[in-house]
Amino acid sequence: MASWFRTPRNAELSILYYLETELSNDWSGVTLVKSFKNASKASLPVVCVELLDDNPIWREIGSHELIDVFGISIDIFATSNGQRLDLASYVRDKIKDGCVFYTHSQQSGSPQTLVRTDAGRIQVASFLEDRKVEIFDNVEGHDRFRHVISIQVRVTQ
Amino acid sequence: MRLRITTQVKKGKKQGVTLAQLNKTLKSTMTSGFRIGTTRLAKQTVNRMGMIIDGSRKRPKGYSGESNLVRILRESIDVNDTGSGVRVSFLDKKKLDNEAPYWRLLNYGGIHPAKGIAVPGFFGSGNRPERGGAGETFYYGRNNFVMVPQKPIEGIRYLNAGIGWLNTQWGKFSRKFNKTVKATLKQKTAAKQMFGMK
Repeated sequence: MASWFRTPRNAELSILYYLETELSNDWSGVTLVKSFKNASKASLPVVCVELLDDNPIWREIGSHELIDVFGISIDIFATSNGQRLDLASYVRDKIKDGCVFYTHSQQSGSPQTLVRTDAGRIQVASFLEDRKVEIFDNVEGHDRFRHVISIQVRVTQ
Repeated sequence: MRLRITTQVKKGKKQGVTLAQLNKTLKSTMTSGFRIGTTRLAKQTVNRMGMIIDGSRKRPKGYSGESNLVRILRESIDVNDTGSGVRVSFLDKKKLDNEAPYWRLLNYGGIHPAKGIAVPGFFGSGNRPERGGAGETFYYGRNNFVMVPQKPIEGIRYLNAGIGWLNTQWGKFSRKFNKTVKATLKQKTAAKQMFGMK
């Protein structure tokens, strides 16, 4: 029997799938990961996508239905400042129009294989942050050329 | 011509105001409404960030004090009349850099640069940090051992949580405020039409 994921997980996986497809078409050597822990282990350049939170709003007064507004963070860890700017611009350009929303399910016996079903679209509601991340002066390693793009997205049918 | 509009009755006696006075009252009511609303939103945003910061802290049991960072965020809320409007800000980067230099690291996560930013404290009942050690609570304190975090610190993204929440709430607030402004303007226009003024 298949087990289905809930909307937040589906939204995160859909964005990951979309960016993975696009990046593999236009870039070489860019690793796409799902969590910060994995980003620090992967070799540069890395793009890390994470669903951070949900700020749901009521559909209308008196309604029991919520509209999910997911906060998504896209962290870019580059090897140079130029690459940081190029990758950030590319990701911004790709994500601004949204992407297909898939529901994902795992088949019993093969949990690693995800089955995707087209179930609507993910639309970008707003850009919250799009900037270089400077944690401290003179940082090394992954944090040296780091960029963050924070967006809020909604799932529409 | 001096026109007076009766707006209220005080002690059984009618009191009138001129259109200019009415305009002034409306403007001040709108500005104060905006100031109250935006200040409340700033406080609620900081509360939300505070919940995430305090919720992510690992401190001894029974410790219930507000963290240093949350205190600074609260103190940073600033309300200013700019002349043409009200400016409410709640993130004083200079103050944060001076009094809580780890605020970016805590938000975004990353590799802790040990130089100059090592954390003083001890484990358990005064033990020094040991490689591979586990199971003891860390106590922050000066003049103890110096901690140099080796693994990347995962960000708790309290800024995102606060700003994301503010972004959704702002829509609600501005719609409500626009309604108030429209209603006030209607009232003003009706008063003008009633007295045949341009």
